[in-house]
Amino acid sequence: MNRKTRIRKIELFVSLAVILIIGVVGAARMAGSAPTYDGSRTDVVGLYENPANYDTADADGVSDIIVKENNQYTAALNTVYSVTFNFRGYDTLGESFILVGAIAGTMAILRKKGNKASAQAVGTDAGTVVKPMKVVDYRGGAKKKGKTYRQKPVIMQSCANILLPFTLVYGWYIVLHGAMSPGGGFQGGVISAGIVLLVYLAFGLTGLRKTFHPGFLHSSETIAEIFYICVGLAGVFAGMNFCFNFVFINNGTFREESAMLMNDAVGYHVCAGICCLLIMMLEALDIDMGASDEEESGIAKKAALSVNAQELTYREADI
Amino acid sequence: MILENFVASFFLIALGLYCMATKKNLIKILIGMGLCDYGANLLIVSVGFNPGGTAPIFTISELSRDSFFVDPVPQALTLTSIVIGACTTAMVLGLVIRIKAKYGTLDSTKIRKLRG
Amino acid sequence: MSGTLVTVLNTFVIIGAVASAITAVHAERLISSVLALAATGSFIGLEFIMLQAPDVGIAEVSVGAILSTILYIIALRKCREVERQMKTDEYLKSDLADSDKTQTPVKKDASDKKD
Repeated sequence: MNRKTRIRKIELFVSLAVILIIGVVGAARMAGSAPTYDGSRTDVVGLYENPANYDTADADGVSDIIVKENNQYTAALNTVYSVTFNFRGYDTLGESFILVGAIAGTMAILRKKGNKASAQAVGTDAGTVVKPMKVVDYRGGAKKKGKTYRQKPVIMQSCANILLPFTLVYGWYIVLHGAMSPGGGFQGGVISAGIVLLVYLAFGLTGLRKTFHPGFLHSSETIAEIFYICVGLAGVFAGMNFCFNFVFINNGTFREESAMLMNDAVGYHVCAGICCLLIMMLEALDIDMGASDEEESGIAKKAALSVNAQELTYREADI
Repeated sequence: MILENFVASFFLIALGLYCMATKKNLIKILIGMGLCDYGANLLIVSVGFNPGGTAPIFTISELSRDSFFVDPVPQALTLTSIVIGACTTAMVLGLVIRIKAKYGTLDSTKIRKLRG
Repeated sequence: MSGTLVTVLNTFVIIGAVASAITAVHAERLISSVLALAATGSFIGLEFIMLQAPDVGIAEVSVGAILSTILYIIALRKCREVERQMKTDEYLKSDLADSDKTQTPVKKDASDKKD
């Protein structure tokens, strides 16, 4: 089979080289000569001073029209934000659907059957001879009899106690200020979903289960999606287009539009969705440090010690 | 129009395709998919760049009469693409966990035997 | 600063991204290639900010370099736990375990030592 594999390798490299060369040449030619948005003919200072004073008679693309109409028809300063939520709100709706679908799919894949506390409840079909190692979660403050010194992650808990409100405030600051500064719903939602990791590192799986409930997070994520759809449909019921700004106040200092409501809905949607995803993955992991040594029997302990840690280095070759 | 950005993005796409086609470990195949995502996003944002343009946010204190914007539409499309890449990665990693628990191995040539 | 692109810095960032991508493909240990993927994502995020796209830069760094890496590490850890459990079961089913099953548990050994 030496010749067959060699022919296959040559085919692979030739096809990759073709992709590289044709792609680079095509992209360079397209960006050099094809009509794209050349913003050097836009007077942005003039647009800011008189928002209605623009001319789209000989526009060179959709981006030209969007940049010129941004100050008059939307109440946001961030053009990318207004493209995402105002001019192309339908695409954002589809993206929210993808997020909901991915999280529902992961929930279905990583579902536990049976005992929640056992470490092997993720779909193993082979029965085991010995019970899994009894793990004791010491991070929730569980006490253990005996004279063994137990570690308590004081540093992690203190830092998490201090950092948790700052993380949430920072994440929601980015969500709510998406119209005036770089940011928006998605970015702020992912940042504020880091609280799950803080709680897990400090308080263990027990603390995580006490604080969050993944089913409730998934339901509230769906409610945020429905809120987005309702705000978008309010324009259709009023006789205009989908995602129409039925609230529009642009006084110069006070700016408000209904796309900001959609932005907040997407921010909550992403935050709840990513929290739910991380909780599901961490519950599938389901190991807690600090397994007690005296509660195992001798056989299980010897079995556990026989698996050398060096055999599990996890290189690519030993799969 | 920056030539090294285009070369790098197509090189990343080709590298990701090579990784997906040749490697046997499932996690390496996933890493190849992630590299394809990075290359495609870099290409989209690089196409919409104009030398001398600023970010499309109207902070009037920094602008002058000569300044103009870069293209805002490819940036909005790239945001969607990034979120889709993250969702796909999360879902396939859940699948990888289940495959390892069921088949005991992550070798893509060994898990092809469909067992009832 | 009104939107100029420094060509030399741009070239360095691109070279860094390509180098860490090649590391991610050819690394021997899986954890190394996952960390190289995180480095690639950070370089690409920096490149986005240099291309005057701060929205996309924030999204790429927070999703590609942080969230995706965390998910990979959780999956690798879980695979390692499954493997440890499988090897424990194998050990117990093999002939080595039969002799151990008749052994006395740990407590008696400690009391023997005291004597």
